[in-house]
Amino acid sequence: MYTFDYHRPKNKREVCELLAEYKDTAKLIAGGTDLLVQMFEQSDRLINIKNVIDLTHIKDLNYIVEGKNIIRIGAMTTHTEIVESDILKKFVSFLSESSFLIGSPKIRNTGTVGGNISNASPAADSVVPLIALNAKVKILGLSGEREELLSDFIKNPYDVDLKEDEFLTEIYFDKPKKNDYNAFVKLGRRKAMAISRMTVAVTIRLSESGLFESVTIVPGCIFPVPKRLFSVEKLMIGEKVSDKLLERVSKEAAKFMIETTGRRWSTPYKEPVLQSLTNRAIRKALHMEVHDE
Amino acid sequence: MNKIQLKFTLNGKLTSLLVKPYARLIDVLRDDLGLTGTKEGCAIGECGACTVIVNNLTVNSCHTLAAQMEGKDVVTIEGIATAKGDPHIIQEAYVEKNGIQCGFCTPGFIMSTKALLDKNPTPTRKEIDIAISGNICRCTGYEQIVEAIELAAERLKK
Repeated sequence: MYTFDYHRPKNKREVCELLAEYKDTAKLIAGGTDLLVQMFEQSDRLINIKNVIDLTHIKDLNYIVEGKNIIRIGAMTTHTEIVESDILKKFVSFLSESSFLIGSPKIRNTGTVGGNISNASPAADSVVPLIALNAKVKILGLSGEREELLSDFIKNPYDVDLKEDEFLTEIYFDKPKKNDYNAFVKLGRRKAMAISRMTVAVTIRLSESGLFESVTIVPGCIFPVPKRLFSVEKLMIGEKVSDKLLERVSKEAAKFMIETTGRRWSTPYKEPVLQSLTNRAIRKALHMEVHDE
Repeated sequence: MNKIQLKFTLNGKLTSLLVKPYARLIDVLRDDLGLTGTKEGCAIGECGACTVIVNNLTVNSCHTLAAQMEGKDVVTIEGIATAKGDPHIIQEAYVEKNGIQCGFCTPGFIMSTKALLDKNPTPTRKEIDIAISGNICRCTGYEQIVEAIELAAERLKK
């Protein structure tokens, strides 16, 4: 175990002040499910950390609020709270589902959505649907608050866009409408506790006449940082739902992956899997029959 | 590194002690307080041998910082026996159904069972599977454990 000093700020302002004081020797702790394991295993990434700042005693970082047009989630909201939230079940059930697939009940009881995002693991399950929702994050620093797209916030694996005195306080996204659909599918090595091998999140908006009006497709664990497949999404806009289209789109998703990451030793495995998961995710979102291959 | 003062409720008693700032909850329970019923298996949150209940929810005490327990209500395996010191109904059910073999994982399983049945007295098989999905047992093959949980649920209803 690395040794460190412990700080317990009482409010958000104090968090920024402590971060500014201890600079790159400081790390925030939320649930601790990632940080303490890494500190215990003496991860190279944390070799300089001498100060751990605890966020668990700050009250106004834990909430799920349904506004008129947006849904806001406090950074300290646990995965269990996300899974059990009626608001999220109603509007973004794929986020509830992806959070339910994180670790075990014990990991979900302590792990937080803000921690999952800020740790920026390429396999973070809650991040994939949030990117599919075009979620934005609120960031607080000594000079005030700023916002950015979650997909810009996560720069690289284990690297997020924060200045020394800043931290993530909230995630928010547009509230889905009546003709909006979403789904999340995950392939793990076993049922419980599985780190995702590959996931796909999709959101779909259909027009009154049933054509694809807007689509987002986000695979997880494929790229260093989860991102939308813009060029693939585009193929669906204005089109009618059909098996043929979904087949084409799924193939294009796999093709895009290979173009981006290059052919690797794992490609013969990942190519059909991504193709199949993309197809399944879209079908699941639209409540169509899913063919198991 | 200065030790910090920690006050929390442990097995129903208000407890106050000085802890190392980097001590995990399991370190404080076992090393500072001598409560060795909670076991350390993998130390990375995979095996669940270190399960305790914090504010009615199960957590892995191996990746919980002790200092974060300020003001919290913590229950360990030592805290669930009856007032007379007899085993809890859940513990008896594990014994009866052979849900225990080597016993190392048992305290963790019992705590996951306790948190489940406190919240949901009539769990389905699926709900039981989910509740113990973060606990690993290499001896029993789980069937006896699930049966023990079902038996405990039945008896606790009465």
